[in-house]
Amino acid sequence: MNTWTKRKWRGLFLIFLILAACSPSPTLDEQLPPLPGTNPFEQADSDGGVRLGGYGAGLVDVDPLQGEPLLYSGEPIQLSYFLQGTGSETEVGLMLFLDGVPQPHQIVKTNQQNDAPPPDQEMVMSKHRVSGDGRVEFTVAFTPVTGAAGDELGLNAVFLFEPSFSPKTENQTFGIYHDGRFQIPLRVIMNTSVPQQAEYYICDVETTPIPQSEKKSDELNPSGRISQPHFLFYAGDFYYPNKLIAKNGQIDLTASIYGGIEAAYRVTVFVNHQPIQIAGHPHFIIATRYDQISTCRFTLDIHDYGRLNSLYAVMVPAGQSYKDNDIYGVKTSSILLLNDVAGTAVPSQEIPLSTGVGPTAPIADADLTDLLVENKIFPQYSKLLIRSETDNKLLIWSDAAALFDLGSKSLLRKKELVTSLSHQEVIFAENMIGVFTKDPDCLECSTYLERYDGEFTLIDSVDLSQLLALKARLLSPSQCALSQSGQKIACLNAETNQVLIYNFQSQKQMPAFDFSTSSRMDFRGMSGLTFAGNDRYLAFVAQESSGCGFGILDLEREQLVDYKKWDSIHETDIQTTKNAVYFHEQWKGPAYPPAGKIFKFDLAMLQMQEIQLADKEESQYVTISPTGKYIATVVNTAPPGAAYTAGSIKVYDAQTMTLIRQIDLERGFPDLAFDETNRSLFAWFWVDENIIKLIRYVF
Amino acid sequence: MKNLFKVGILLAFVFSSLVVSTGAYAAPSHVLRQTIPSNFTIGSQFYGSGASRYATASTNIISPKPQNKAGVKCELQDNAGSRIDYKTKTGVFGGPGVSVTCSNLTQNTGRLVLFSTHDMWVNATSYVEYRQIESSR
Repeated sequence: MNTWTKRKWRGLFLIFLILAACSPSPTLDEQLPPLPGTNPFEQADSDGGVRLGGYGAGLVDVDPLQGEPLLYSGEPIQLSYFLQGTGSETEVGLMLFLDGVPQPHQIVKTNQQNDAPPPDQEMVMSKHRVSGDGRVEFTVAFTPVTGAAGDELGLNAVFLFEPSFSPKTENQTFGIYHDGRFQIPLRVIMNTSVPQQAEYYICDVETTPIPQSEKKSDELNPSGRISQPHFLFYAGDFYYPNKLIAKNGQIDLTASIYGGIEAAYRVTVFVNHQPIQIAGHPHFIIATRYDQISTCRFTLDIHDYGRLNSLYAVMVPAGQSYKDNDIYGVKTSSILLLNDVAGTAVPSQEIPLSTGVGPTAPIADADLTDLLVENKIFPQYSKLLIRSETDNKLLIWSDAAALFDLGSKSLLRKKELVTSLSHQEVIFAENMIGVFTKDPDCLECSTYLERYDGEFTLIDSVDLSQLLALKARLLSPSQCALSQSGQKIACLNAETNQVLIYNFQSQKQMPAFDFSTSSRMDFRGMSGLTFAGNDRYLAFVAQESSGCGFGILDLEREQLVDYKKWDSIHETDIQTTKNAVYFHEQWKGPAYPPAGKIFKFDLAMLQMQEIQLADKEESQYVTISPTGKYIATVVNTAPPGAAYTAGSIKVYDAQTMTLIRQIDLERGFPDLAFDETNRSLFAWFWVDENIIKLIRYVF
Repeated sequence: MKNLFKVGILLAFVFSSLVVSTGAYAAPSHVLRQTIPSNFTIGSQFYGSGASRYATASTNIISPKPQNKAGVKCELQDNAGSRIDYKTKTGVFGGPGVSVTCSNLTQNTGRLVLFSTHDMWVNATSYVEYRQIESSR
């Protein structure tokens, strides 16, 4: 290389260095609006601060600023997001809202290595974790929860900071944990309808003028009208609480919105990241007015929840409002909500096994058979039924009705029941016990409903054939249901498959639900009718011309909310909690083997979820605890051909499906009832044809 | 040779641009917030004394579109964890920055804790930082 060439290359290298050092700002920054010359905040930055976390988030391969819509044509919509670490490992939750309605989604792909969210499981919120210098990309898929062909709906994504954070004691609060960040809304164009449409329940709001002190008038805005929306979520007159205590398991709350343009916002209230129903509605609409504060008041019932809970509301512009640049959604800050009737402040996951909770809690398993023997309760004609009551009491219903105090092991009351070999269906309602009864040998005899109060006194005995003006042979106890309030009944007309509903309070028969006019004309019969969701919904199992299915009716809107064909579904056992309906499987021969599935229909989300059990046999005998917190299963472990049964009981945490306790009985196949306040399970079973046992197992 | 020189300059220019525009490439992996845009400046600070203590949280605002409302939030708590004040403020499109002040007008003495949330947008990507500081008096 000659000198000239060397000089040229030195020059080239020098130019390279100069360019490298003096090249313009990063490409990222080139696209940003200009920044002020001196940042006014740099001087205020404190040295004493602690960084709690942070992240960057956005969409992969979709630029929401371009306004390209997502299309729904029958196949699930897929979206890919990224999370960018910004210095320390951070957990981030994702929630989607379509037209303001919580939109469950499932993870179909993620490059997260550790603690990846479960794939192919529908979730209202998925949780992701990104390291301080990492980048996580994941793809979610969802089928719209609402929308008719031709609709154009807004899809909002909200990221939550450290959603698993939970105060360990009553003296801690959430601070900024669970903070929610709305992303740029996307448009979803519905080329085809989905079966269900979200309800549009408008809250009856109070309006009060925005105080003058809130307004700031100037030359450009002489009226002082507030251009941006403001959201308040509080109890009573106390704004911005970070801790609230329920009274008797209930709390009065207020949601207010003011400012911005006149618009409609859909409000969903979440407890422990799950939507909670307000007066039987999964969400409600607040319509705002110029210069007014629109306030919706409601009562939250959490008496079935644990002691420490998170509470927040998500308020999202509904309808076409999402397109407006001046309004947006908000997730309110998380509030620690204490349930005063939930026993103890110790979080349930920290309770050691077999110690129970609270002053009345059992400390060990207990054989309660003596309660039956000493008080001469022996089921000769009727099945033995048990319900765990509040205050450590136990209700037994068989040939006699009895109430026991388990603390003192004393009989509080007992009443012999007039029993016969009649066909009976017993339903434990909130404040009464309902018994549907009919002589099985008399087809033309009436079906009666007998209602008993808490003192076991017969309130009334109603001839249902007369009440429903139906021939006696068309009614059967197994095809009738009593609602939880005890004020409604539903019975199936076996000839027409119409569901007849009568309201005792209004003394009126409500419009019958007629499947022959719905898209489900192939139903040959129905069974298992069960009320749910404050008497609003009716769950059922349908016999089709081939196989079976199960579904939910919305009695208020007189429509079928959901229906799923599943041949091995249990035809009579449908269980409910305040917020969900549970179906499970039944052995129906080798052609329909159980798949180990429990189907949970979430009444707030109006979504069906599948719970997969480890052993396929387990799904045939399932007991759900009153709040849905625990699931118990029983399988027979006696050898094939044995002349006896041996039940193996498994108790699971329903959230994680972690096995909490397993009890293997040497003899007997038990029925079960939960007392989840005291973390115990009552099991009663026949050891042989003459001996019945009643055991309380703690877990 | 003259043409080779021109090509060299061009290559050098392209390469240097690449090196700088991908900030993560230039910075070592242990650098805190290496991937946060350098113009994302946040602050949180206590002022005053006695029953007139207050704290501010601030951030500069980059909003590519009016609906991307970046902003700040502050939550001031007393030593027992009770919320004394909570405020949020949203930035104005094109504005230089925003700050919000949480005020304490009741606690004469004792530790105060400020939680602050600072966010911004870079095109369609949102960045957020969470901080906590305690009063020194």
